[in-house]
Amino acid sequence: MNFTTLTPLAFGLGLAALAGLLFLLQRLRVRHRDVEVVTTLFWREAVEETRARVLTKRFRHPWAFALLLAIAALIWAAIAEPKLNAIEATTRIALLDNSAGMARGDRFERAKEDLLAWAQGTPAEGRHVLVTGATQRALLLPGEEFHLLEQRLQGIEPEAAPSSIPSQLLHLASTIDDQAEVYLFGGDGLDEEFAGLIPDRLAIVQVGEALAESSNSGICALGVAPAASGDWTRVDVYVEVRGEAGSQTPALSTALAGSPIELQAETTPSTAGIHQFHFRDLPARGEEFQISLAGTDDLPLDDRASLRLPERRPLRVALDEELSPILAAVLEHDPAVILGQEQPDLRIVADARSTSVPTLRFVASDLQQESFLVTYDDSRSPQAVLSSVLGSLGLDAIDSAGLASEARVPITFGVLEGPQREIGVWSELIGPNFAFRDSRSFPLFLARSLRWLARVESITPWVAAGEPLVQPESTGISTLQLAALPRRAAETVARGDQSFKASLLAPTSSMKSTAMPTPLQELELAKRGLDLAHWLLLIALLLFGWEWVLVRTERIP
Amino acid sequence: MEFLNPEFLWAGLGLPLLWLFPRSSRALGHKALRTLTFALLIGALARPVSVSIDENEHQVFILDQSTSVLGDSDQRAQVLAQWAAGLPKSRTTTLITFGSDDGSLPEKVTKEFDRHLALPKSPDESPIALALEAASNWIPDGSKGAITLLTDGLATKSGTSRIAQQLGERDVPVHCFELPAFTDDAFPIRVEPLQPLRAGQTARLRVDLHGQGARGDVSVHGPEGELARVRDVSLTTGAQAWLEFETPRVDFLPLEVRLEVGSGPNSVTSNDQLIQLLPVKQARRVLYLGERQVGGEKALSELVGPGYEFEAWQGDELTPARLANFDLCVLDDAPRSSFSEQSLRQLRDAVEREGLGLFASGGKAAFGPGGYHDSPLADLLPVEFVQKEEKRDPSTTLVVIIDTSGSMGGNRVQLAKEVARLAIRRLLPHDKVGLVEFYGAKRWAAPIQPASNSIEIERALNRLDAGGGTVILPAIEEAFYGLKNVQTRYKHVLILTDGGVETGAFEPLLRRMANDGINTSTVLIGPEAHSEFLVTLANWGRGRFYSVPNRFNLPEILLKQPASSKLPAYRPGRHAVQASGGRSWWGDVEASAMPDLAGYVETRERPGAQILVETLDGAHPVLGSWRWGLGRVTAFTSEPTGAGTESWRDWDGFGPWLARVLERTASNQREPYRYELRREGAELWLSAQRMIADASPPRARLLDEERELSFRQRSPDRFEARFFADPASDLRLLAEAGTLAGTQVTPLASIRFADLSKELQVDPAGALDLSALSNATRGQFQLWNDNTSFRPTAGGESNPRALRKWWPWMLIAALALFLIELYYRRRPQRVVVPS
Repeated sequence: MNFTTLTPLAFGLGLAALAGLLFLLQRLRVRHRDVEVVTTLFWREAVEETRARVLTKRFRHPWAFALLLAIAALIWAAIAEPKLNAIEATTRIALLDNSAGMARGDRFERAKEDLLAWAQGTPAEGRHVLVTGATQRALLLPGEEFHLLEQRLQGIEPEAAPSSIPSQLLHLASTIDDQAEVYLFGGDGLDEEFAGLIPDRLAIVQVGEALAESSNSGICALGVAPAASGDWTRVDVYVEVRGEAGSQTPALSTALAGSPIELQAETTPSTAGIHQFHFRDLPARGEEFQISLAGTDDLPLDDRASLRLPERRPLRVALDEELSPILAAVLEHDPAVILGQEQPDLRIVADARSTSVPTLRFVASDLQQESFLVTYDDSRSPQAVLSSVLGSLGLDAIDSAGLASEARVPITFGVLEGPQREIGVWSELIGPNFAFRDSRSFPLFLARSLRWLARVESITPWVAAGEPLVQPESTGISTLQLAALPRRAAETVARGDQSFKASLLAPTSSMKSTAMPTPLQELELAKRGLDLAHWLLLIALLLFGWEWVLVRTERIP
Repeated sequence: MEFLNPEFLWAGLGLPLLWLFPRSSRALGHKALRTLTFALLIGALARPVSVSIDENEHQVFILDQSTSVLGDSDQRAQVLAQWAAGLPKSRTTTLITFGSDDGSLPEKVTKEFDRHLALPKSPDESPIALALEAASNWIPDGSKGAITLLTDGLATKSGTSRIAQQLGERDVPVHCFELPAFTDDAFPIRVEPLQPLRAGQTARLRVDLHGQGARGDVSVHGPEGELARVRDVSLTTGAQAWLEFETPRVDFLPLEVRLEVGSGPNSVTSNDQLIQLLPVKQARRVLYLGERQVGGEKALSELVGPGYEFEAWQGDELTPARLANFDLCVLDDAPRSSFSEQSLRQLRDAVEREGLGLFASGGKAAFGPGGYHDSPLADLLPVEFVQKEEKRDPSTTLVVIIDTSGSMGGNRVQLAKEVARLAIRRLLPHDKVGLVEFYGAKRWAAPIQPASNSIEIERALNRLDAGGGTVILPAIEEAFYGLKNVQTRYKHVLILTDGGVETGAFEPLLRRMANDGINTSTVLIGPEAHSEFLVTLANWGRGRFYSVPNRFNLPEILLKQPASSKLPAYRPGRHAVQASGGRSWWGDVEASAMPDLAGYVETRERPGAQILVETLDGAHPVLGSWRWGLGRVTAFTSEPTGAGTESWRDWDGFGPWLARVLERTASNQREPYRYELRREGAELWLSAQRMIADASPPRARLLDEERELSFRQRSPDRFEARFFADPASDLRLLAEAGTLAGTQVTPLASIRFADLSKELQVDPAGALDLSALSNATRGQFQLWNDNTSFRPTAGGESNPRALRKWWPWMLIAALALFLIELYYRRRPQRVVVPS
């Protein structure tokens, strides 16, 4: 046994002090009272009993002392809040889901009530309550008072985020090495494949009542892609709405840059309640495309979504005459490029002359130390620029080893801070003796270089809550490991100069939960238990009452 | 104020009993004290609390004990214990450790913490993100807290962003101390193919390496043994090794990369291996369209190696569905008449719109000679047929055989000279001419020489005079042998005689000459109107017969074909060639070692085409290529397995080079989807980006479990399947998608623990940026020093709420009152003396 509020030493010292004090009080002369003596023979004895000028008397009434000491010791022990070590607390973890799916009707309120009832009936020692949704947080640590949970639950509401219970369960499986019980309050249900991955040491119990039948339709996909028509300045948008099987095609309201707009969409016949809408050739002007479902249903969080369409404008490129035989054919096939000398956005030059617009220049190797030199105009560190441009310019796709073996010199990449963006490339590399010009990566490099110089943003196909931003190109493992992640709908995250607002887009939240819960009543919860301090106090109270009776009946002094 | 156990308050109703029982008394003070004490005890049982500001701090310390960290872990734990002991009393401390075998720490360390959590040892040996998430779960919502992280940052798994953002949002600072890491070692970090592997083709792997100046060999091994090795690689930070080998014909290729350090620091050898599982695409599917080259597809298949699966055309109609099954179409020496107009249009459309590769080759039945000049394929080819330039005067060598026998005496020999002069006069300076006279014997009156040497030729003619017998056959043989060594488009023999020639084996000679492109015409000199024999000679020699009775009827000798007839564009003979183009076309093949060509079809380069091989003489394209629509078209103006490349049979580089050319030409646009498989522990995402507009939605299944994956569309051109799988298992998948033409299958693979690095194989360049993590959470960042003194500042809720317990104070008050009451009832009072 140990004590919560006192150390054993302090408890012992306090108890000794109490015993000493009671001993002194026990020896204190009993206050005056009338004593009747039947004969003067007893007078002396009576005088001895109630001596007039002494403070104490000899220690008497040891049983009374013992009773008083027991009462004081019990109260003192209750103050120290003793806990029994012998009971090994079973780890019981409650996961409260506050993802979007919990916003259907009173589902979240019922889950909270169940959680409180569960917490009340669960020993505090092994009880750990977590809330998981857009973020994971602890609501109640083991040993904390149940009432703290009530306090901390205030203000916890469902968020426009997908359920993160599966990932939280995997986290628990990775961090808990012993037997544990995990109680789920809410969630979208766990499929069989996933459940098979949870180790046996974790017993999963879904708590609650099965959801009543309800109707809901939600926007589950909103994505953008370059226009299938090939028009560089336009994009296609895909919208998917999921509802109950056999539901009617929902009515969509659309807006562009905040202004309602009537758009015709190609629709695909619904299969199993999935309605698909294709919006073709929307202008790519960097405006926000908003979409919302008409009417009301059980879950408003998934009835609207938005996506910022990319900005795509033609690139006017001035090409030096001497580069024309090499590059013109490639550039003419680039739908983004308009070749011409008037007011160019970009220049492609064959020398080192200064230009007033961002420039791709092919210069002799004796004029430029690095094979590829990127001049940037922002405040990022050179390392950050180098790591980002390697992918965005397609330089990582270049067979640098092959080029190096042809050139018999190392192919190097460098970055330099300057007043405007430029890319310098050895002119020899696009000569007839190098594979670079003929390689598949060359048109890629050329196209991406022009887009980087013109600050053309790459298309981010969708931005969904709880999902990392989709990389425009495959990148593998992020080396920085601190990439941005929108956690809930309407949250804005930034990548480079661009910012993105997330939408929910979570089918499992929009559709009815597949979970098969166990009603709380069926759980073998302990009745609200009394702790040891309670029992000590109750005993003290009984003894205290008994002592009162003894005193009042003058059986003890 | 609230009560945790308000039910005990009901006991307060019994307090009045104290005043009534056991018996009434006037000791009011005593009763009041006792009642108050009872009330306090009952109140304490009801557990009164109130909400107040939480002064408690939740301090979590994370200690990285993994192998990559240098130094004494226990000593650091003791320092942490000292820090914990120095914290204010109102705190809760948690110690989280990871990376050690048993997670045990000295008791004097653990006793300073309220709890110690040792994360289970797993393949993720430096789970920094996991530890941060666990730490977050030990700082309650709405409380103050801080996390102090001691690590080298070499996380074996990426993905700290989610928890870093979350802690930043909660304003929980992460104070980072960077521990010294184990660096005196060399190891491979990762291995990646430059391009997807394809059966039979050269695989190129990039191995990223780390080292501190060591040198060693890097090898890659497959199930059958070593596949490739690079020797004496310098192992420094950022070092790479490139390994090339021929991809076996398997669906999935397990690989092991081994590093064998020869010299320099390499403290640990257990991390010198790396395993990978790569999917292998099936060999390029090639439709072989050819009929003149018997067994051509088999010979070509043997020549280019196992990277190509040839299927011979069976004469059926070419349809989109049929063509869509192939990456490349080889049109080898098949005449245009073999195909319907519709088939050729479909072939053209497949190249233009579907990206099918077209390799056109051949000799006498290809290109112009094959009749393709007006076909739908004519524009596709990067070379232009010379039939369209027939107005150009073709070069000709004329050998004039003049009968100077006795029968030609008088005017006849003069008449023959006139005819010869007339014929020679029609020649251009680049033509050649020779004179043979026969007069019982043969003699070169003028050897074959440029026609521009008119003076010499005229002198030779003038020297001719009649005399001797008429023996013509040796003269024709002489002319034949002379013409065999001449390189002109036309070769012609003109026999001028009065017809009195001997009999002999003319027919075989003249037919052979005709087959070799040497035509023979005959001219009857003299008044005889006709000579059946000379007509026959002309027929055998595929020439013409002319009659010259007198000097007023000199004929127009036709030595060159009219413009409307087909030119013999096929050029037999030895032709020196020169190569151009870069490594992508030639690879490691030595272009200068290319032998002379034995025959080719003369063509002309089209503007925009890339000519990779051309003849030295005339600069005629031999191999040209360009993009056409979505596809690539390559023209090889000779027979890859026929007579034209007979001289290349012994050239070692021919097969590899041709394979490379076919690979460059073959479609890369044919994959309906570009797939990417991402793995994070037990969660996987398979994304598919549509590359062909008419491709059906993708399907995929796990091979080992025969489990279908469910894709959902995310954008107009992207689909995604999210699924779960045991992180300790290798995954083999087949993704399928249909196009108008059929189903395309793509193998995909993921090695077990693909998202993890081994503990001692973490790329230092990819280490967690602890400074950035601290900045993102407003924590502090320092390099570790054993003598560091640190007091972690807590963040979090500005006004954290806590429950203030009132019942201990009530119990203390009750205890005090109990003692007071004892004193009260026993205290000395005035002495009453009995009267």
